Order: sequence, then C-alpha cells, then structure tokens
Amino acid sequence: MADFEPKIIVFLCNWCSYGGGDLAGVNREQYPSNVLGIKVMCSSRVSPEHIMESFVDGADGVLVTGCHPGDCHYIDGNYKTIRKIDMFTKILEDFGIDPKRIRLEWISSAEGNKYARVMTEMTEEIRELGPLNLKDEVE
Amino acid sequence: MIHMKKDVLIIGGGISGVQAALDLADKGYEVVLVDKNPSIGGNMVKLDKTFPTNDCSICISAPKMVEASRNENITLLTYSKVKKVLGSSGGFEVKIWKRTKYVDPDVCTGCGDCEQSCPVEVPSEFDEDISNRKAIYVEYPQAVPLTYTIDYANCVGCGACERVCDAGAINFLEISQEIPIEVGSIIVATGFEMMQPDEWREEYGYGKYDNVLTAMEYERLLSASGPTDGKVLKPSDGKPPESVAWIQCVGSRCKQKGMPYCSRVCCMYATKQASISKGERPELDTSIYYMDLRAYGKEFQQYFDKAKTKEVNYYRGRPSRIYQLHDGKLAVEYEDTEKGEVKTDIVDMAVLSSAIVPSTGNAKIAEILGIELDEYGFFESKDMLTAPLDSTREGIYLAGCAQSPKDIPDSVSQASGAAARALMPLLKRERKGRSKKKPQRDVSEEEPRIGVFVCHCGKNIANYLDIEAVKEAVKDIPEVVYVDNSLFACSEDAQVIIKKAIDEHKLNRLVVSACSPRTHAPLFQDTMEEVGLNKYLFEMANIRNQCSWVHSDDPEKATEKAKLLTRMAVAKAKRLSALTEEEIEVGGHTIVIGGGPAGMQTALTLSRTGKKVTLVEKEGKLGGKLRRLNTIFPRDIDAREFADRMTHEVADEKNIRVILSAEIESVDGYIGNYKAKINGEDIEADTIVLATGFKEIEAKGWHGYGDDSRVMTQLEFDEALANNSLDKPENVVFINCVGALEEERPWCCRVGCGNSLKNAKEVKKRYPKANVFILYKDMRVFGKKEEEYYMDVEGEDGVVFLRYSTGQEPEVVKGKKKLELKVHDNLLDEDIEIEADYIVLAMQLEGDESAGKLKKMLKISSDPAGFYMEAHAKLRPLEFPSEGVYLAGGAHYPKNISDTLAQAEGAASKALIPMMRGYTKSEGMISVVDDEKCSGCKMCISVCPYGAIDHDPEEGIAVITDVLCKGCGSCASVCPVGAISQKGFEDDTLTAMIRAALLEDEVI
Amino acid sequence: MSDKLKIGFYWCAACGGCEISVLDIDEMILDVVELADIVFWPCAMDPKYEDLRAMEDGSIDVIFINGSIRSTENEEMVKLLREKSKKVVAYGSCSSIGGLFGLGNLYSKEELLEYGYNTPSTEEGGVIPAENSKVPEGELHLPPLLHHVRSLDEIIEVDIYLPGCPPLPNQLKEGLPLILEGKVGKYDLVSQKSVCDECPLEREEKKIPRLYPIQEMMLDPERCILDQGVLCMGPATAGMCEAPCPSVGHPCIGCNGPVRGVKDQGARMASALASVLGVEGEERMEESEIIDVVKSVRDPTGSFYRFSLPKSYLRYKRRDIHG
Repeated sequence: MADFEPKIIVFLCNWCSYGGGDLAGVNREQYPSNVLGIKVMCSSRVSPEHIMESFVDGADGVLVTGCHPGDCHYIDGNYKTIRKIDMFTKILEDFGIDPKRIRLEWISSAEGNKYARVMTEMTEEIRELGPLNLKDEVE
Repeated sequence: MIHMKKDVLIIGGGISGVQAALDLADKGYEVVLVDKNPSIGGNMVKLDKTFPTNDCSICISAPKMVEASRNENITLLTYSKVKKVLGSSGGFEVKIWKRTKYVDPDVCTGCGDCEQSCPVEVPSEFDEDISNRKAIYVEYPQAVPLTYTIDYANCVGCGACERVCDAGAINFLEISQEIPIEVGSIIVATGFEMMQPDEWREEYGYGKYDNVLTAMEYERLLSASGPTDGKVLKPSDGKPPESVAWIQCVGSRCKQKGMPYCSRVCCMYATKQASISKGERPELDTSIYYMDLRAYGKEFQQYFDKAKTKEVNYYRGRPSRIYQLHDGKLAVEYEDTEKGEVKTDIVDMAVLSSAIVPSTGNAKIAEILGIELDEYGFFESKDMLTAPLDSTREGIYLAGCAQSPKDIPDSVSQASGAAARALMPLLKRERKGRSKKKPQRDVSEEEPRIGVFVCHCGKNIANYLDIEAVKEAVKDIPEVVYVDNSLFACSEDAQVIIKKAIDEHKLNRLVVSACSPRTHAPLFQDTMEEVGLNKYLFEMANIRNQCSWVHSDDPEKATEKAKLLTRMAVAKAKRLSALTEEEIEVGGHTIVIGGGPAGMQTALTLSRTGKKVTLVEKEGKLGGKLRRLNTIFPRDIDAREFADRMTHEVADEKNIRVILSAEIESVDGYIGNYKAKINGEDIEADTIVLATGFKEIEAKGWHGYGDDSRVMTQLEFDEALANNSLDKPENVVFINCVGALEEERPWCCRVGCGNSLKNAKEVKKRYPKANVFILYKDMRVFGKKEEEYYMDVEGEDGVVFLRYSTGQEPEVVKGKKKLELKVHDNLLDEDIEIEADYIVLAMQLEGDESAGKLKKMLKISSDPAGFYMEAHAKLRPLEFPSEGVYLAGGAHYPKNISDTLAQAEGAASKALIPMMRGYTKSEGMISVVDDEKCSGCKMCISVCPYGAIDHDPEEGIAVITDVLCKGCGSCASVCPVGAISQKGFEDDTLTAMIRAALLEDEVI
Repeated sequence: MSDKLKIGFYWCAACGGCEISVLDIDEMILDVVELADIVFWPCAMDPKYEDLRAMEDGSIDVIFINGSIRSTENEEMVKLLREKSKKVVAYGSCSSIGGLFGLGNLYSKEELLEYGYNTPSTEEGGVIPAENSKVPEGELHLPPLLHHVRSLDEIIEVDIYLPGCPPLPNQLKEGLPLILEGKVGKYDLVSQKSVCDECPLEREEKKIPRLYPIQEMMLDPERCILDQGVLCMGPATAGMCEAPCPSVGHPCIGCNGPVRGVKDQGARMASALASVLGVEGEERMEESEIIDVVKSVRDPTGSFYRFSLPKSYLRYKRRDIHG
C-alpha cells in the first residue's frame, strides 16, 4: 500500500488543538499533507454523523481533537466527546470498520510537536490499513 | 510627542496585571498596561501546566492575553518602564520610557523571516537560558503582541533582517521615547522572581553540577513547546533521567540563607512536576524532600493524595547536602524525620524548589511611586489583614505576587479586587461608551457573492505552494465572483483593496486564504465592518500555519492541500449568514447572599460605586464567623470589633438594604433579570453574589466531643476565649485536622493550623504557666507573616508540637479529674499521654448547607465538600460558567480574612462589569432551537455547561437564553431530532465542508 | 370498471403485521372500499406473476408496499409494481427504512444461512436450501437472498413514506384518506417530532448515571423510562404513534425510525445518549470510569439501529477489519 495516499479529516477544537496546529506551523514541524482540518468551537460539537459523512464521502480516517480533560474552554465539553467517540467506535466496529480509523486525541495549544506527531502517526497507521473505499464499494 | 489621558496605569503585564486591566477596561475605563519585557504574560506563560487541574498554562492564559491586546480600552506599552510619577490619587502624571524595538509593530506581520536570517544566537531568557534565541526575536510563539523586537545589546547590525523583511517593518533609526500619561489611579502588579540558588552552591551544588536545576528550569523542560519538546533530559548528557529528586524550601522558611516566609506554591508545583513526569514515564523514580507538605488550597490535598498513589515518594526532611558521585549521579543526604534515620539517596537529577522572591525592580518602582516595601522587598499593604489591596499611598493599589507570594487563583482574585479599588478615585469620570459601528448592509435576500483573497505572506506561503493554482481551484465555483492574491493580505494597503473589491463587486462573503484565524481573523473582520458587512460573513483558510509551513518539503502536495482548504472555506462561506450579538440591559442592583466579611465587603464596594445592594443574612446579625472568633490570625486583632466596624460601615451606606434572619424561598432568572423571593417578598436583581461561607462539620463522635464539655470545637473555644469563660487551665491540647485529610473528607480546611496557633498564643498570653500541645499532621501556614507567627509560637516555652498521622488519631478518655489523651508522635515514634483541661478540635470545614438549595435554583454546581464550583479553578475563581452570579469568600473555599476581603472586592469587580456597562452581550455563534422539531426530551439541558437551556413547560420544548449561550455547540450534537443548530456550525455547513474536502466533483 | 381509484398491497420480506394492520382500521375499511377498488393483494387474493405482468403500466393508482427488500424476487416484483403504479407508498418501517430485518446487515448472507440452518440453537447439521433443486415433479427454483437488506427506495422511487411497525390505526385513519386523495407529500407522514413529544411520562433533565437492563429494574410507571436508566429510543424516534409503548411502561424500541430530516437514527441516539450518560460529576472521573459508564449501554448498534440500519449512513457491515 506504499503508493496509497490516505485522506484524513481532522476536527479541530478552536481553543486548544487548532492552536496546537498553528504552533506546529510556527515551529515548522513537518508532517504529511493528508490531513484536512475542520474547525469547530468545541470537540463536543462533532457528532457521529459528521464522522460517518466523512467515511462515506471517501475519508480513510477521522481524527477528533480537543483540549485535554479539564482544560476544555467550555468547561466539560470534551468529556462528552470521550463518551461519544468511545460509544461510536464500538458501533463502527460492528459495522466492520477498523476502529483504528477513528481516533480521539487531546492536543493543547502548546503541543505543536504532539500535533505533528499525531498527524504523522495517524497518516502512517491509515496508510498501513489501506483504503476504506466506502464510496466506491460495489454491492 | 504622544500625550495620553487615561484612567489607570498598570505596572506589570503578568496574569495579575492583565486580569486587572481587563476588569477595568470592560467597565469602560481606559487602561495603560506597561511591561518591561517585549511581550506580556509574565511568569504564568512559562509554566507547562498548572496545579491542581493540570491545565495547560499557555492554553488558558493566551486567550486572556489576546483579549487584552484586542480590547480597545487597553493600551499595551511593552518593552517599557515607569520613569516618573507626580501628582496624587485621581490625578497622577506619569512618564513612561518606551524602549525602541527597531521594528514597527504596525507593519510587522510576525512571519518570522527575520528571525531565520539573524546570525546572532543568545540564551533565551524565556527558556531560562536552556535554549537559544536570535537577536531579533519574539519571546515565545504565542507572544502578545506577536511582533518582533531587536535586542540592541546583542544585535551586530548586519542588516540581514532588514533585507529579508518583505513588509519593511525594520527601522534601525527608530528611537526610544518618553511618553507622558495622565491617570487617576495606579495598580502595581510587578509579580515575582525565583531566587537564583547560587547561595546554595555549597549545599546543593547549583551551578556546580549540571544536573541540579531550578524548578523553573525543570518547568521549561516539561513544556511541550520548551527547549526539549517536553522531554525531561539530563543537561549533562541529554539522556532521560531514571530518578529525580525535588528539594523543597530552598531559600524559603530559612532565615539564615534566604527568606523566612513560606513561598506558598512550591509543595504543589513540585507535586505537579513529579506526577506529570511520572505520568509521562511511569518507570521514573520521583522523590520529594519536604518539611511540611502544604497542600492547603481547593483540591490541593486530593492532588497530593493522587500523586502518592502514582508512587511519587515523599520524604519529610530537609536535605543537608547534595554531592556528585564519580559516575555523575547525585547523592542527596537527609534525615528522614518520620523514621528518625539519616539517609543518602542516589538520583540522576535534582530540582531545587527555590524561593519566590520580590522582583528586583521593586525598590526602584517603590521609590518612583512613593510607596513602601515590606522587610523582604514585596510591596507593603496599607493593612495586611483588612486592606491588603491598598498600597501605603492613596490611589495606588497592589495585585498578585507583588504583594506576597501566591498561587494563580489568589493572584487573579486579588487583581480583580485591585481593579475594584482602583476605580474608586475614578467614580466621577466619564467612562468610554460603546464605539459606534457603521450600519450594516442587509445581505439576507442576496445570493452569495464570495470574494477570495489568497495571501503570499511574503515568501512564507508563496515559496512553498502555487498561489495561482489555489486561485484556479475556486474561481469557477459559481458563487465565487472575485479572486485575488496579495503579498501581505493583512497589510494596510491590502485592506484598501479588499474594501474596494467588496464595494465594486458587491461581495457579501469574504474568504481569506492565508494564516491563522486565531491571530488574523479580527483584522479582516474589522475591515468588513468598516464597509458595512457583517463580520460573521467571513471565513479563513489556514494555508500557512497548517499547510505551507508544515509541508514545505513537498510543494506539490502543499498546493493540493491549500486548494482543498480554500474550497472548504468557500463551501462554508456560502452557507454563512449575518449574525448579531444580542444585547440585554443590566441594571444596578445586586443581591449579596451571606452577611459575613465576604458579603459585607462585596456590598460595601458595590454600594460605594453607586449600585444598589440587598444584603441577605440568615442570622439575626451581620458578621458571620467573625462573630464567633476571638482574634484574627496572624495579626491578633479583635474579631468582634472588626465585625462591628464593618457592620457600621454597611449601615452607613444608603445603597445597602440589609435583610436579617432571611430565608430565600426561590431565585430564578438570569443576568439582568433575577427574581428572588426572600422572607415572602419578591425582589428583582441584576446580579447575585454568593458569599454563604463555610461551617464546621458535625463534631459529635470525634475525640469525645458531646460527652464532655471540655472537648470543644475551635469556634467554641474562640467564643470561650472571647467571653472569658475558661477555667484557668494547666494543659490545653489542640488537635488539628479533625475529620480532615482522611478518606471520607480528604480536603484540607486551609485555616485550621493558623487558628490553632493564634489560640495557643492567646492561651499562653492569658495563662503563662499553662502548657499547650498542638497535635498536627502538617503545619500549613503559608500566607504573609504566617510562617513567622508559627516560628514565634514554636519558640515559646511550654508550647509543644506533636505530629500524628491519619489512622493514628489521638484517643481521648475521661480521667478522674482531667481528660486523658493518648497520641502517637510519628517524629519521636513514641506514644505520649497528656492530661488535658481542654481539648480543642480544629474541625474539618465544609460548605454552608444553603449551597444545596441555591445551586439548584441558580443552576450551578458544588463539589463534594459543598463548596461552589467556580467557572475555572485557575483563571475564573470568582465567576460561574453563566454570567450574572459571582462568588466570594468561604463559599468558594475557607480562607483567611485578607484573602476573603480581596476576593470580595474581586467579586464586586466582576459584578460591576455588566452593571457599569449597563448591558451584556451574547456571542454570535450561538445555538438556536427549531420549535417545529423540538420534542422536549430534555437531553440538551444537562449537557449545557452554562445553564442556558430551559424547558418551557407550556410549549413542552427547550428554550435557549441567548445571553447565556457561549456557543460550544454541544447541544447541537446532542439533539436526537436535529432541532438545535449552532449558528456558523450547522450540520449542513459542516457536511458541506466535509464534502468539499473529499468529493472532487462535488458542487460546492 | 368503475371510476374508483385502483389500489394494491404487496409484501416483500415481511412478518405479515403490516398486512393485518390494514384491517386494524375497523369499519373504516368500508370507507376505503367506497373510495377504491383493491386490484392487487397477494395476501388476500391469489394472483400470479403473470397477472401482474399483464396489467397496463400505470394502471394501479396507489400501491402500498410493505416489507424489506431481501431477495431477488422482492427486487423484481417492486420494479414491476413501480411500472404498473402511479404512486408508490412505502408502507411500514421495513419498506421505509429497512426495518427489523435490516439487523441482518451486520452479517453476510452466508453467515445468516449458516446460523439459520446449522447452529445448535436452530438446526445443527441442517441443510442450507439450494437455489435450484430437482424433485420428481421437476426443477424447483428458490429466489436467492440479496447480499444485504435494503429499503424500498434503494430499488425504486418512493412517493410517500409511512413508517411504523406496523403503522398504527390512528396513523392510518388520518393518513389513508389523505394518501388516496393525493393530499400528502413524500415525507408528510413522517413526524418531525419524536415520540417524547407525545409521551405522557414525567421527564426530568437527563442526567443518567448509567444504563441498566430492563429486567433488573422496578420501573416507576409515571416517570420517563430513560430517566430511570433503561434504554428508551423515544428521543430519537419519529412520533405520530402517540407513544403506545412507553405509555404502558415499555421502552420505545425505535420502530418509526428517525424523525423527518434526520439521516441516521442510530448515530443521533448514540450522540445524545453518550452526551448525557454520567454527565454529573464527569469532571471528577478518570477516563477509565467514563468508559465504564459507556459500557453500560449493551449492544449499542443493535439497540440504536434496530429498525433503521439499511437506511443509515453505513447500511451494512463492511469488510474493513482483517485478521
């Protein structure tokens, strides 16, 4: 699968992870260009439907990012995110989709290096898994 | 020359200074914030995380810094110093010396090209000299203002930066200047420094051994954006250590070689550093060598307990020396006082928790301002206990560590309090009202007409990706009617071009494909507003920080990504609509609940600014706990006299109405619209301050309490002292931590140790021959002058301190005449028997029982101890998530009088913000409920952290109070029927972005 | 022939409940017959494929099709019916949203047959019926199963959706005349409010510490079932049924599918329930405790997608997990 370029949608919370992404830029940390970020105000805005929409439109992986537990700008939004992603990952597994394709990461706005590392890891892991191809799957 | 007429001067741009500035600016006062460094932020932004929540420090402080820099009432003067102050309260004439940065901050875009070209490397002060910076630099990546400074002392004048600066911001001819400013009051917030432990070279080898660090150096190693990317590595060889030792009280609590006072934060930050290090690498061996573990604050003890479960080792003993072995390891020699053994531990790295000391510039500032310092060099309060925020001169106030060491929540509380004090000389001044905005064009009926601007950012974007290709990718989208590129989209001339394009092409949506909206969106939004376009019709694609800079090794892929990011932004822009920030009126009436010192002080401050206050007290008399105390620690002033004085002051205020023996039947509503029923009377109010205090837990069953009247609680003993009703005792025993630091109630009561000390002193004063025994777990005295007080009591004849452990509680039995007490002293490792005349129990404290009822009415929460949960443990200690309710004193957590009064002033300051403005505003991107769909399942209500959602029982649907909604969008995600949507982040909008990113043929 | 409307009923993969539900409208059936002639109804009459093929295109005014699309026969028949009919009503949840049989989409066709014919709990060592077999009378042909269950609109265009398992008399009494008179749009009979809107039980703000199996609970008949910690699909399920199940103390199982405008009932319920489960005191929980709360939801996929799986985003089990 070496020549396969995964498409990954990343949901970024406005206050922490988006800032982490910006800092990775300031520090010129290099990571694969396969990730496309969508900003939300809080990770708790992301609902399973957005993740499924991404998969059926052709994403090979979805990453949801937020502030570390306790750091949420909206006090406790990210706790909802933990539960949502956990429950939803199980559902995805039942649907035969590899749980590695969905990932939740806490990235603070001081963690430019972590941002770059997570994007790299995620891309490599999905590259390893190969394409999901929900869009093209024939019945 | 510029001559500024402002209201308040704040010296020091750390978290305290910034908080004070925001509190004043939000009320309409104009503030000048001066900092000697090139950027604001002070010490807090250098920290990795903050205890006890492990919040990322820069993450929580950066938004405040940005807020300060964007507030139109705040003028930042960085790289500046106060040179001269004339005049008096209400009319100070100040001269500021503003050093040149040789970079025009209005032109500098912060792109960083100059830094890359600069050949000079010097140690970075921000990183505690562990890493290097250039001679042209910003202190840290999130710095505010994010513009560069040339450090004259180190610049070699090669001109490399000037040549690469496409924006033309560098001007070697710019000179420093003196700026005269008129202000009415001044706040001193100069913060602290950490003692450089050079003095301790002999004992601990700092400066001699590579692997002996200060705690601040270690903090930078922990920081993800620090010199080692958050990895703890030994300076000697760059390898991770296997064991780290923290040495507490290096220079603190040490008269001979440092400062006699307690630095107040070291126990907790060492615990934090150790447990975070342990969390990162569980195999790491971490040990903390301490004298008393002072985990005195809210959630501190629990944090410490958790560290112990993570196997952070604690040894009670102050190491006598550290020396290096042949293999480079460090030997820590100490006496484990709990085991009575002298031991030597071998570690790889030692961290010195060095003392918090006054800023070196304090003496100079004190001289310029004409105010006094205390014996250590911190600024002296007018009265340490009763007027902690006032300096020794009228019109000049103190905030944060400038006054004495303290943690972040205490600093920001004090800063808000100082802001309340600082507005007193300004009350007659006219405040700045709302700035008038240009009327907005109504675009709701227009088809979207989108303009896209792609920025080169000099070379920062254009060098790494194909700008033309990005333009090409969106130009055929039907709604895109204008596409342009710009060398610097954020420059002044680019704004002119953007405005012209909006006008000529009748654009009603703007997309800028450039850098980060976090730093630059407001600038473009201002431009839009200038031509009458709603600022929410704007979207940015971040093709620099999240594209060109991070994919600079592959221009082709970077271009592809930039194309997609821009398409996504267009997809979003197409679906944007104009949003308004709803305003609601806020009048000037506050209900203050609780008539103790916190409530009274809040009421006084509010009343003195002309606001109406209803002060509600459940007892028949004002004064709260002060009425039961004899004296106040650590000043020994008469508590009842103090309570009387405050009560009289309250009575003298025409704006305060006191309701005694009050019962609150109900409270309902929100900011500007509260309705309460108190003693059957309906009272309307605009804001509410909770100052309901704390109480002792039920004492029955503890150490024979209830069976024998000679066993008393601390408050009962205070009353007995005040009423002089004690029989002359021979032996008095104080037991600290009764019902505290144990499994059921793990928290520390914060004030018990001090109370025992001052009552012990009082007993000795009245009955010099009596013996006093203080049974304690850790002696937690940490405030200003408290350690010194403890040392005095310890030095008195006939006062014996015995240390006991949880699980080995003292046993009390009734003897023939006296009470007989048996306790195991864990330092002597001996059982000790005492015949006591009185046994005084420093009972664990918990929140007042009214909290249970009030929290439901006001939709706020409390912790298991019954103390209210503030909006944010570090930076919003006086507020609740929803605006309109504020918090002061023991209702937040037990605290001494000076902290209580500072907090009360702070809570008043918070309540004054909307009341002095006369309105409060909602966010723009809030959630809305579709009545046609909402089925009233009540799922969303408990998810809202702000209590903004209510159930309308008549319609059977959810209703969102716009002003309370902060726009997180979690309710939109929870709604099972899709009845709630968040403006700007609707499901359709997010779906369109996903599709634009993934489906190439998708019609955007 | 009279100028009355010509209507028909057809069942695909179905339990038969929908057919019977037509009779639940009691004497109103007389009004229907007054308005329309039933020209095609295999359950009640005995038409052959040929009879249908012989009909003129568009000769049926309204055809009510119930059941999921599970076999090639279902597929062929509904295509044929589409040609013969002016209006197609997806009658009941199976044809509207895939229905209960849609849970079979979590398995492959082969797994299902194996389970059905060769497991201890069914018929160990049984024989999976062959598609073609010879018997003395000649050759028999069984229409093979499709790879997975589909909703009707995946095969043909649907004009009106009428979900329900089965549609209830009140829905029919209101809906049938409107359908026959041509007065309803495509989704008009799918409620845009959920079951909660009609549920008589007393609800509180949702702060559910964890879920419990219904058999472990003594439910208070007056209080919201979900509030009491038992899974009820009401919040994510389209109403218009007048909440018959919760009204008698049984949780809603989601038979009407998602409300109008919502694409994925299961995802919505997952998002809602996960948000409010253990919401109180969450800030003091370790991540492991939080996950533990989530674990109290048994079989989330089966519970949340019980009726709507073939019409969800993902529709059927994918083969992405290897090894």
